[in-house]
Amino acid sequence: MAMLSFEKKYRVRGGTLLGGDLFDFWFGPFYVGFFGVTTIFFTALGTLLIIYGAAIGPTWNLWQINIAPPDLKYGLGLAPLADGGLWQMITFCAVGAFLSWAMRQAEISRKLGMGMHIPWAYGMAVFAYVTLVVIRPVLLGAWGHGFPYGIFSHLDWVSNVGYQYLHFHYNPAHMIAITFFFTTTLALAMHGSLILSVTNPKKGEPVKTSEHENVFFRDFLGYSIGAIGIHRLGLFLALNAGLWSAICIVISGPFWTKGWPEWWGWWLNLPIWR
Amino acid sequence: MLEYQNLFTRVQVRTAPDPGLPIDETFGQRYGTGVFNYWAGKLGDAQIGPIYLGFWGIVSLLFGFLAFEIIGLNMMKSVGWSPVEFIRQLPWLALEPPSPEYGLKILPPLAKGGWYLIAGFFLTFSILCWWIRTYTRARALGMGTHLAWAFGAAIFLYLSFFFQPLLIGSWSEMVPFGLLAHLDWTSAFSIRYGNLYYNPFHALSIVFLYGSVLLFAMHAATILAVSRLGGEREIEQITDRGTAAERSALFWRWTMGWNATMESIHRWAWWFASLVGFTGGIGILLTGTVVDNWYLWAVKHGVAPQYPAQNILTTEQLEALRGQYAGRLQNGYPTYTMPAPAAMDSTMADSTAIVDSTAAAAPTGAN
Amino acid sequence: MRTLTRVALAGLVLTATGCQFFASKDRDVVQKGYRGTAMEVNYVARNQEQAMAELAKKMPAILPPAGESPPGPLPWQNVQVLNDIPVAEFNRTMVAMATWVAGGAGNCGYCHNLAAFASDTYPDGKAIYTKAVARRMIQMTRNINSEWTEHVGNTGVTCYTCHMGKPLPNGLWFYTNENQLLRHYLDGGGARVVSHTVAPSPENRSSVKQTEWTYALMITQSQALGVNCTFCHNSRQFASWEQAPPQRVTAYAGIQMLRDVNTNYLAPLAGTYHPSRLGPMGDAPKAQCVTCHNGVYKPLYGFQMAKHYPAVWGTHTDWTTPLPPPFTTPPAPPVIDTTIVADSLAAATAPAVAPVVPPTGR
Repeated sequence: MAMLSFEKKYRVRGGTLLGGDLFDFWFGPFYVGFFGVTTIFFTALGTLLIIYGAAIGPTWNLWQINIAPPDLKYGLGLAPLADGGLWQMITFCAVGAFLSWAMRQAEISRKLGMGMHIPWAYGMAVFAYVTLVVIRPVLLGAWGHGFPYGIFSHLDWVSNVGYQYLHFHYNPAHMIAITFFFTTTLALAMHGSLILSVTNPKKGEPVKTSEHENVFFRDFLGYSIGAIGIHRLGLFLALNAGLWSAICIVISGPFWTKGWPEWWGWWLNLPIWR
Repeated sequence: MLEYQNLFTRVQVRTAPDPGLPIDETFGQRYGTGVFNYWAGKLGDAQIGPIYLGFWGIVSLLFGFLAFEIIGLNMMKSVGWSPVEFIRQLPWLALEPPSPEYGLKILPPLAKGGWYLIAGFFLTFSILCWWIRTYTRARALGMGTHLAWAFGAAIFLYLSFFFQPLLIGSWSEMVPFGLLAHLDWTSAFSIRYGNLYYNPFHALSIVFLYGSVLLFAMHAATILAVSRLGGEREIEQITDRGTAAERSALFWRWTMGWNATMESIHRWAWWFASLVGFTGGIGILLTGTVVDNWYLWAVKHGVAPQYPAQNILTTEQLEALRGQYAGRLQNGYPTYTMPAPAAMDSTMADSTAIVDSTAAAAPTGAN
Repeated sequence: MRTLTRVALAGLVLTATGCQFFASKDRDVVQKGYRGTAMEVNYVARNQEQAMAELAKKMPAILPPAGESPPGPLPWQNVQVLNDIPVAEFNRTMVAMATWVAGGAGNCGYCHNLAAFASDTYPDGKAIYTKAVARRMIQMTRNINSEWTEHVGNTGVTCYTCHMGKPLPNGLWFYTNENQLLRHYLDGGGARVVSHTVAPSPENRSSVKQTEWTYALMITQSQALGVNCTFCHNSRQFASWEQAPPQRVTAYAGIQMLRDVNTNYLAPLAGTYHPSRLGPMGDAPKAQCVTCHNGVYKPLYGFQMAKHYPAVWGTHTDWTTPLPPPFTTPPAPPVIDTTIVADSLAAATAPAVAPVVPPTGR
């Protein structure tokens, strides 16, 4: 079912990290594995809890549903279910599901004889999420510092956290993160366009070659990073976007409590200016 | 445990630099013969250059350089031509757009925004000339023009920051040239228009921005993971599918039940990256022209969440405040007539114009 | 290699702990709104305690209560503003003011002709401008304590609140020929820039530049009080009073108080000051938030100094019962922890307090 023409020969046993042969099978197009089971468990539980949270909340409006973290007074303890306890359980499920997903990616990579780049890259995204809802709250001493789960409510959280530090754009790590985000998108646009323009050339022309790729960018910018290089660069840029996002939020609060514009005083007061 | 993951090049080959495929060099030519750089070769291709600089390339660089110089010299002037202060204060320096009082005047005095408009014009012209390169260079090699149109989406976003002030009727709404200044502008823009987080096109733009980063991480990691099998030779994998393409596809199929192909992943990439600029530009163009307060827009359309009242003003406080808020601030005290300062800058008028109801009623953006 | 990693890790943890690790014990962050909205105020409790201790050291002690005043008419002449208090209290106030403003209890000469205390001129016939200014300042202080309880509550102010032992308080400002945001505290326009309608309307044509101006003004307020934006605003909609914490009402009253103070007391003194005290455009020094707050959300961390000095009371005399809130408050919805650490500390350890942030006036 749902197999690609070439798929059958790749569907072989082995490569699992845990569970041996027990879960080494496919469900439709999905590979299951031990971590597939845990993924399903955490995802299903987390989703149901969100639905439950919406049900006991004031609205079914998708945009307004809000599962908020506990009050700060609960510190790092457990909160009553309707008072942020749901948020805690959902966060636990989310982290469980994300880590399961990463492990699943590792198993599939092993099965296909691929490198471990994908699970590590995904791990960076999970790290950024964990920084937001676990590491920073723990550093600040209360689960209440996590962000709420809601389409617009999480934006209100972002807004208020930003203005807690008067002007978040002055956060140097935030600047670096945004630069990486935009640069990654630029690089992605350039790479995607290049491959499409080589494989979809001017009407009537044959498909171009990797030599054309290089020559185009050398003509255009004076440098072509090359086929393998762009993927290394892309991965580097994308992972740094995630990494610096995590850094910019974890330093806000645990390591700097004032306004970010004030932080720049050290530069203005360097002794070299005298 | 640790094994080589192809994150850098271990062995670099040196031959004569590649001069590039032959092209028509009637209207411009390639400069340089190409040099090798060891560290560039660590990450990707070691060869740097040659570069093609046709008419549009030279014009673009020239105007880009002029814009850069105008901005830099204006900043330099603002610190009294002191090189040390220039470096010290560089992050805070800016070339600001004209004051509100000039509206859409074509050329205000140079020191009061005239230089800004000239620099902006040069920069825009430079960017448009550069766009021509993206088109002609691709065509010169018989390739598709996908890059030109993706760049076009970015230019659309860039130009939105010109057209939005044009629609509002004041150059003063444009983004200043400056490192921290443009960040100040960004925050102020969001505050002025009632929180840009509630602008759905801003939200979409961010979704595509994050999506682009996610896509590139997924794609780049996948290709690197199958680079042992030649996965980075994407053209070959697209036209003649090999095991690298098959494994990449199966990886995502097994992971999330569905996969792109070696070619279609680049279509996803193109669309995600282009839509960042496209949706962002729409979001800017609607702001201040169609919607003046995005939060209230969200309330009106029932998408803004409501929170239980906690530590906020009581109804009585609000009622009592309403009276004060209406007039007390301006009329509640005897006015103190300020002695006219000897030399008052004309921009002084701006600050007092903020709540000046006569100025507020001006049909176009007088302030 | 392993050693190196361990050292690096230890260094990292050390650095981390050096900056408020597990800060919850000090209650560094105070929740000010519904959970998950990030309506919070950040503090470094340790720094705050330190600042309080420093202030406690340098703040002059409350003078012992004045004894019985001798019966009979006032033994001196030319008392224009403190003529409604007993003689003993008058003397006590004079001593206190020398400490508050002139840097020492014995420094009467800062405002007085030591040969003739009643005189308004020096022996050489020149006017004693400090004395004239001080009279107006006393009137101003009384006005603040009696008319602006909306802002100063039962904490009140004395000369020391702003002067802190120095002739010139922090954060005084003068006109410049530039677009000056501090003019908001005198004759400048309002700070409102956000529309109250979804669609653009001629009612609000504020520019982004004006918004930056307001933003900068608000940042001076934040730094003057050592608080952040969410102390007074829900940033999802800065303009909204409906979602604002009650502190915004106090702050709003404070802005109006500043306008009163600057308009009716400080600016008109331009002709009284010695020219060396005036700004480049010949205007008198004017106050802003930091002048009294000195980087603390409540000046002197809320220590009730004024309570002990009837001379500065004006018509406000009851300093024991908490003032009713400016508006009648109905049974409020559940409110969590609107106090901040300084509240409890100030109550427990008063007198003890101090400015954290150096004046960031201009």
